[in-house]
Amino acid sequence: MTRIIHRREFLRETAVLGLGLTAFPALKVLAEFESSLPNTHEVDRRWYRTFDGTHTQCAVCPLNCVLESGQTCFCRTRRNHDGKLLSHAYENPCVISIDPIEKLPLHHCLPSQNTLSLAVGGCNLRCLYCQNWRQSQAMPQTLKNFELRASDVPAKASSKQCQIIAYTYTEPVAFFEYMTDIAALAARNRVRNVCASAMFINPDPLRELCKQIDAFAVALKGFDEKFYDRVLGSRLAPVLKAIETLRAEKKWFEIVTLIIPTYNDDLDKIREMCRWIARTVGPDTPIHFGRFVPEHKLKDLPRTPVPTLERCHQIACEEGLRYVYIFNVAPHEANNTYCHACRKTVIKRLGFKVLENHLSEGRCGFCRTAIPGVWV
Amino acid sequence: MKPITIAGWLILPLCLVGSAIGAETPFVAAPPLSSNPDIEELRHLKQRLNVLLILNHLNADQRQLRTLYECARAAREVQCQFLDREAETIKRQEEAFEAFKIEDIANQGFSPKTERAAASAEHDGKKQRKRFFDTINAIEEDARQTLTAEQQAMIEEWKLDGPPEKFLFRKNHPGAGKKAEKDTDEKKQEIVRLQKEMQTIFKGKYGAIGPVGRLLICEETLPILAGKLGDKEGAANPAGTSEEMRARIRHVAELQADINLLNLLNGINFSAEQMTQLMTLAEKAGQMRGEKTGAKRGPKPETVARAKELLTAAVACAEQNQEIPAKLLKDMRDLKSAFAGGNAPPSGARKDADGIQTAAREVAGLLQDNQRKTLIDYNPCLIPPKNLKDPVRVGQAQDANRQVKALERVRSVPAEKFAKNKEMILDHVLDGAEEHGGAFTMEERAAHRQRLATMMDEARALSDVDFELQKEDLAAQLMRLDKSETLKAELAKLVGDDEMLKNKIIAHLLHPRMPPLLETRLNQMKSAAETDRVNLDSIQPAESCARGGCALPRR
Repeated sequence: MTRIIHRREFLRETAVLGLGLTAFPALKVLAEFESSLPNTHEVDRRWYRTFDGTHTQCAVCPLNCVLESGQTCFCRTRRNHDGKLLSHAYENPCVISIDPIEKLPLHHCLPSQNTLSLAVGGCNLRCLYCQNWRQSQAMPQTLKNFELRASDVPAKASSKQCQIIAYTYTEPVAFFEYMTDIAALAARNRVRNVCASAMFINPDPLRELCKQIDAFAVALKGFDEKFYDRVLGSRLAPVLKAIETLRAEKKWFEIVTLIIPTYNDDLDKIREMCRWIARTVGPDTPIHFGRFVPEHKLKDLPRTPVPTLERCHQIACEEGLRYVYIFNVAPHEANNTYCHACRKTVIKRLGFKVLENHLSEGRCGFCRTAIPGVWV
Repeated sequence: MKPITIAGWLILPLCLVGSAIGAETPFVAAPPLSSNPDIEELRHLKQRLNVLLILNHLNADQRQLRTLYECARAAREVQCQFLDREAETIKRQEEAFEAFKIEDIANQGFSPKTERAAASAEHDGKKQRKRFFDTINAIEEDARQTLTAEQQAMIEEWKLDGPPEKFLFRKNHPGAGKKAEKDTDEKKQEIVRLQKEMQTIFKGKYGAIGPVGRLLICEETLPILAGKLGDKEGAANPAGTSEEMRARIRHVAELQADINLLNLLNGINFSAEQMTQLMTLAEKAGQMRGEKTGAKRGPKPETVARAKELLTAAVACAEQNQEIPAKLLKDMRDLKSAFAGGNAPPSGARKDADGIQTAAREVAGLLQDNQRKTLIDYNPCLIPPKNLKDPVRVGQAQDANRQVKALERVRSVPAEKFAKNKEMILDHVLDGAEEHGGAFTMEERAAHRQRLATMMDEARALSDVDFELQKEDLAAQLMRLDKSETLKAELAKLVGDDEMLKNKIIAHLLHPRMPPLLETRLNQMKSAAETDRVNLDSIQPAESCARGGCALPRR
């Protein structure tokens, strides 16, 4: 049967075909360009395996992504290129800034020191409320990045009077290779390394990381598997395991929990979490409860009421935690560090700013009790 | 700084209250507004007496009077047009500020629409007033042409709403200003100098009317001049604002005061206990000021009646261009408090002022160190600054501020184009800085220009990474171009934290409108019922490996 084509239809189909033919070479060029990005870097063979010739399995985080050639990990930073796992995050930072260490937040680690903070696009979580979603939920190669070689970072930090390098803002596990290379070089140059992470990482890479990182701000985002699954697209158990690993590796870390109204503000769960922290990792582990401000996909929620945070603070104290803080609410008395023995204010803060510091050699300036942390 | 007299101590809190309420709204067209008709009548009589006295003292000839009259007519016309427009703006402000206040009370941040509406209404009001002031200034300039230097000086000493006895007994009362000049304390003098400089900047930015201009737009001037020149039409020209408009203006001022206090409350994070104690102290301070119910302590009705009688007699004398009899002068002096429109110091006022100082000390004791710092740094505002409204949060990648964005723009200009337009860019930045923060002297401008040029070259020469690491420092250098900010910092340094804290406590935390706001906030805290927990199964789940999102699709 003869098909009658109307003029309009003919024109439309010709246009589509024409566009397709024009776009094909452009897509090819783009694909080639992407795979030949100057800053791609092969992931350490320890952290992935190749099988069936061109398939790879990443072993950095508990997702253990299995990829065919041309596929990208869930974190958007590692890509299988013909059986080789390449990182697009390497030497592609999208955020570089100088911040006080209190912004991580780390309140028991070199107070009021500045850090050179780095972040690369990509993340292995999908938090619905991420405040840095523009960076974390994008592929590194799609962002505006800076040319910063790993070998140049420690010198750059020193030249800006920063004796600490912080891996923060997005998830450092997604730029693990870049972070570990910088950290190793920094350690050799007596520059400290600190990391703010959700700790959704496998134990082996974490142990490797512990060799170079001086302190961690661990985002324990809730204490409910369902919350992790539905709101973060992740799992809680590996995070708890990672916290135990940090403890076993004797690394300094502080726990950070953002309290999201109606999502993770169940006080019973908070109590359960604090109890777990006190028993498993010890009462000296600082915990920070933060005020949520509507972001990303949870814009319809209100900000966390300050009394809710105060209640969480009270529960943590009741469960025996000695250093409990509130963040994203300043001024607040829970911004300060109090000596657990004499209850005097050892460090007075206004948000990220240290107003007074009464610590000397890691001891309370009033009663000489040792305050746990990294002070020198 | 001039020594504070007893009356000064009394007036200080009232001034601070006034400055907080009307800092951004210099309603020159409708000065001291009272809902009390008796006080309003007294004000009119006082103004009439003042205008008569000054016109009598000027000894102006017919030609001068005619010019003044023409200028006053022109000024009145401009003023009427302004008041028409102002009525619209005030209405808009009332609506916008109401909505803004509701969101401010909720303390959940502001919706862009509400924030934009409030900012735009405030901005339009300021712009409109500035335009009005500028037009009046041009008319004032014409009026000045006709007056001699002595006559101008005489008018400069004249105060629209000052008590008439100040003018009558001028020789016996040299005024506090002259005392201040004699003050040998260098620090105080420096503070006065900085304050004056700030005032000049403020006037330049928002406009102000000179003394002759104030005389021209005074409600009583035109009818008096018309009477003197026998122009019946001019004499009948009605002036002033309607009671409805006055009520609106008062309401807008109250809304502004509330918003200002709410902004502070939202940024200072008081605990319930602190709020309860502060409420008690603020109420106590309010009682001392006689403002607990929002109404200022007014003079007794018989005093007002007597004052009216005396003022009417004085006005009658002034209208005849006669000397005011000595007995009448004595009686007027005795009724000084009534002349001051109900704001004059009543007996025992000193004790009250001391009481407010004590309350301020008690409030200071309630505050945490970080709250003290926040209060010291706080400036009255309608739209709170970013550090109060939405401070940078833990782990938040910071957005570039205005200065950084400007620097980024400078960096993005191609070299050739930049070389060609550098001078223009420098002028543009300096003009902007002058407009915002006050004019520079020639030397200052040259120095800033040099510094700015070096800074721009430096910013352009930096690599992307170095710029990222240095942009905040460079932005801080740009901020130093803002003269008003520099002066503010200098002033704060000179005044000292303790004094600044005390002043801010009196001006804000012990503000008469603070107790009801604290009560609302406390009730809000108490009634914050626990909301139902979200059913996690019901929400749109995050993308996850478990749901097949592990490896991204092949491209």
